[in-house]
Amino acid sequence: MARHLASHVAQLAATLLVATAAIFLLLRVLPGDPAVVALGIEASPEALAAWRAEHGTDGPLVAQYLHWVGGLLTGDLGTSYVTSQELTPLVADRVQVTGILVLLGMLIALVVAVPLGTLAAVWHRNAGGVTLSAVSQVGVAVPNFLVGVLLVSLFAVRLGWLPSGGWTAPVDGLGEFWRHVLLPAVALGSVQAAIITRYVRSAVLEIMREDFLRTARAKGLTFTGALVRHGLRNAGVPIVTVVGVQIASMLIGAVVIERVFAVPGLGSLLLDSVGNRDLLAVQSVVAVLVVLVVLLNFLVDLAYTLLDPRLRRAA
Amino acid sequence: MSGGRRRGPARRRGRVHPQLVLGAVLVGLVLVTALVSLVWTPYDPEHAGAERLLPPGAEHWFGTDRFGRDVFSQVMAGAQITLLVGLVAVGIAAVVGVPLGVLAGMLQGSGRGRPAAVLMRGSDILLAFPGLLLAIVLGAVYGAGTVTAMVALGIGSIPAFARVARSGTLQVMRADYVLAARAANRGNLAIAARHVLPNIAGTVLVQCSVNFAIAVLAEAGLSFLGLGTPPPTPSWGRMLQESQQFLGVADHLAIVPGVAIAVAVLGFNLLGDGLRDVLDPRLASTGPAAEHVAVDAGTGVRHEPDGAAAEPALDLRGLTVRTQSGRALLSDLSLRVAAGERVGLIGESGSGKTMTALAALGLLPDGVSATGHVGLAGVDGNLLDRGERALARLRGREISMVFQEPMTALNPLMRVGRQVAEAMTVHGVPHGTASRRAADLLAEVGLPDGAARRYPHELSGGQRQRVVLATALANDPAVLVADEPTTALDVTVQRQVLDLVVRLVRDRGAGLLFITHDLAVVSQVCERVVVLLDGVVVEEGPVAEVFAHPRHEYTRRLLAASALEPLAVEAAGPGADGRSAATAGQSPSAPEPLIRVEDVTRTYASRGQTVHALRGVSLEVREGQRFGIVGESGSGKSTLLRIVSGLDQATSGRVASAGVDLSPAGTGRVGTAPSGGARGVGGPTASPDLGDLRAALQLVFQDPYGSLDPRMTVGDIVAEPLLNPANVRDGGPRTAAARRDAVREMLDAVGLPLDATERYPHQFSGGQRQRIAIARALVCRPRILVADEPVSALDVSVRRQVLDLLVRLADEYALTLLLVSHDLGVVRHVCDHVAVMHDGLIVEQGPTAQVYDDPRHEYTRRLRAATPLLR
Repeated sequence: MARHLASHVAQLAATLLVATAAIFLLLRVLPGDPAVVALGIEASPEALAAWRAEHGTDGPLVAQYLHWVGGLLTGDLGTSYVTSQELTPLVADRVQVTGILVLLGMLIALVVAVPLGTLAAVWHRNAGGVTLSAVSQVGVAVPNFLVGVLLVSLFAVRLGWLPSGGWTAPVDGLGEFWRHVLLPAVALGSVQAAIITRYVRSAVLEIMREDFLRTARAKGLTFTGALVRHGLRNAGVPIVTVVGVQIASMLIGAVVIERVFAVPGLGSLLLDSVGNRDLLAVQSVVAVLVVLVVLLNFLVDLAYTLLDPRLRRAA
Repeated sequence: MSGGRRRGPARRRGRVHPQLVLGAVLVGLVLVTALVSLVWTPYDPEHAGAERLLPPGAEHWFGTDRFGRDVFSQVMAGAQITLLVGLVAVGIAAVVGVPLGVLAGMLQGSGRGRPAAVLMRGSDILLAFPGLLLAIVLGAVYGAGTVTAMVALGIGSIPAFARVARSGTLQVMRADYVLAARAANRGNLAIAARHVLPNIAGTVLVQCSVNFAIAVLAEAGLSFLGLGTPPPTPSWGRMLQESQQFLGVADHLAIVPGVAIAVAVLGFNLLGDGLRDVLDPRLASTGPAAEHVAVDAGTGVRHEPDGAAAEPALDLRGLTVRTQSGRALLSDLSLRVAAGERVGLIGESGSGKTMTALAALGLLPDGVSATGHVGLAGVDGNLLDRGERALARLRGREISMVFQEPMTALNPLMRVGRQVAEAMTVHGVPHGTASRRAADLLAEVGLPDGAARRYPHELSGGQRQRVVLATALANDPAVLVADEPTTALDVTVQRQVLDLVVRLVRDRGAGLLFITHDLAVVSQVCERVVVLLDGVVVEEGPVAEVFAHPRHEYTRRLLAASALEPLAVEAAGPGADGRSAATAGQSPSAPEPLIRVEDVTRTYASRGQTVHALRGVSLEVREGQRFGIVGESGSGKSTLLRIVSGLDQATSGRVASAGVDLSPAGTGRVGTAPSGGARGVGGPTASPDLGDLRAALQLVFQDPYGSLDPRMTVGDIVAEPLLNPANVRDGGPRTAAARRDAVREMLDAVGLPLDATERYPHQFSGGQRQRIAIARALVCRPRILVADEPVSALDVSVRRQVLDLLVRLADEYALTLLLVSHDLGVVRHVCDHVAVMHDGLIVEQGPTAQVYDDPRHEYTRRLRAATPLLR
């Protein structure tokens, strides 16, 4: 187990190293000298040198990379070249917003998907199961921003029950927070619910074919009892993987939803920075997103090992 | 070999798949729309000519947008960019990802795990950059646009394709037909082109379709963010984004492009799912032709059930089991098990014996239903009339069951003690009592202390079957149904488990219904026997009586096939030296062994542990011998066979087959070149000259389902070894026509019809498939035929035929036969020499009759004693 963990951590570190190097290359090296980008090609050499010294872009690239990664590790993302804002508090603030949105969306998705997916599997031979399958199939095909737009149209524009966008942090008033977070979280979660329903259905179907479920019934458990006591935990192993992968994909998908609802999350920051050509900010946000995605994959691997005793020793 | 014929599995299913059809229709709709929009749209999609924000109407079907552009025309034209982005993205991902995955899979499949892992890690790093994020980043650097979007989405999907291709390739590489191709000296490229690519094409196609859907969604998202195709080119995502300002005023502006996106995504997803279902071999349902002659129902002789006076513990009357389509799996079966009686239910695969057991417990699979009567002592009425809840109260308490496959019968995530205890707690026993009883039961079935705390994967197959047995008997049921409980176990373990079953059942006075294909096992365990053929009871009676005087023709045939007596003529000779001199023209005084193994070891690392598969094995096989290797699982017999066949390399020691030195590099090579050749003598060479070995040695594998490529015709399969010119002997078939003749001749020799060449493996039964495998092995006329458990997957009556065919062909083609089996009876039937393997060592070898009749080693004696015999 310890060796297993060690090798996973080593892999994690290697992946993060390569990924951050790729980001650095893509956003810091390829676009050219940030001083020229910031000051324009007509700037004097002295001004350029002063800018470089101020922003620490005058050393060799490897040193700059290490400095940046060191900053990532210690929580110092540097100062925006464009707005001269400290990036760390800005990004931290935005991570919270997006994090709340994504976790709430996933919670909604799971609450809907686990029972529906299980039912769809158990009823797979009758009309109820087929209907559930069909609905989830259609749900997967709907882009989440369409759901967002339609929710705004109904609840904000026509009914006027909820605001069409904006954000209130929980500390600034729970009531307002819920009014603002509900629609984007539902928009994000509903499409995920459809996706996860399909995974739950196929995992449960797979489990229903397992011999040990038949053994459990031969002991005297009813079909439902056997499914609940033996099936769901086994089906849980693949479902946990999917949840991890989907949270990662929701982090990115939230970019679009944040735009629909004008939510000041990581996605909005990313898009605004792209718009301003604020490359250091883009670099920071992308790094944070990539680190989160990689960490999620890592946690999924760990969860797998914890859930399945066969992998504990084997690994 | 035309491309059109290679469609095996897909063509098998005559039924139209609704998802596939709907998916194809939707995708077709998008495709046609895009094509039509290239030449015609109702209005110019980029021209603002009409009134603004018109609702849908006769003039403008889907209304107009804020500039007065026709929405219908825009949606039509938007299909172009959607398809273009999807096509290029999927293309990039497939073109990069598939070769990467195939390479990794082939590397790993041929034992080079490290470079394979490096390749996959590399591709996995891309997982950290989802396509949408990559598109935003690339857009920030190089400017957003169609090309950026396509490239980013493509790169982002590479790992998905690499993973799919790798796992598909690994699956193919593990199949015996790839081993057969390697044994026929086919190169890696040939294997990739002929076996891997055709077999993974289906899954890759599915991935393409699913990924297309992802790309469509992502493109729409990017356009929605303003990072996709720039205006004025129409794009669904941007139409949606622009609609936002007019929500509540002109909702059609959001709904129309939204539906268009959903239709496209739904179409590609359905198409992918449909393809997956159609291509899934598990769902391909056509069974092969029945192997045995059908016997008309009801003509069988029936004995009156014994002890009819006492109420039977289990009473099946007029039991008929049908599938949804109305096919009868069991017809009017009647069977009684008295209290304390042990009844054997005998039948071959497909005879309905498992259905009988499942019907008795109310565990029939979905879509299969039973009529008739199932009665249980002390329980009123017909069990078939009870609901699941009422049945569950009886299961495990009054009647319980042990299943065939111990490896999968237990919940892998739960400690076995709890699984045994659960059988009691569900019937109301308090937890504490149940746990204590469970520990006692596990001790009673012979598991070591502390076994209750173990997980199933920490136990061996025999131990797991003991756990299942303990579970089944936890509540002292009146009836135990055991469905092939020892078929998956080794012979010596089988013996122990059988003894245990008999003892436990006897102690409890329970009735036993014992289901098996093995007549010898029945003769050991049961008092009465019922013979089942195609869902019909053809004979029943006391075991001694039925076996001594079978009345039904099928029972007689089964008994004859089960009794594998040694083949008299060959076994009489002390060795086979005389024949070897005659066939090879060597000096009879010093015949070189055709296969020589000297002090061979094989160790490998598995999950951090060193496994000693072979621990110093020596043997010699002379030309013309029929040499058997017998041993249980884990004895090293298959490893030895692979080393002798050049498919694996020894860790140390010396090996030579057919004059080709296969010794591992670095050890002193053994000079065993036959008198005719000069190869192999002298210093170590980089790699043995396998080409000559392949022409001289061919293999037949255990699983007749896995050893034939399902996508090739039988003609192509049998001809494959001839495609490598090195395998063809002088004067052998070198043209397509000559190859065809050679294939026909071989098919004829193994007793298959000539029209078999045009058919696919799935159209043949297990025994016929094994004949095809033998034909493939012999088509280039090898000197040595190596057979790895060639009949262990076959029914009893077919087993005999295939064994006799092997012996006949060995004579006709002057073959040296090396046969590996777990079954002493099979080896005794076929071989004149035998080596007994145990724990990586040969514990005894010699002429079969001698080893069998007068075993010297303790293990051989144990093996012989454990082998069930017909009484």
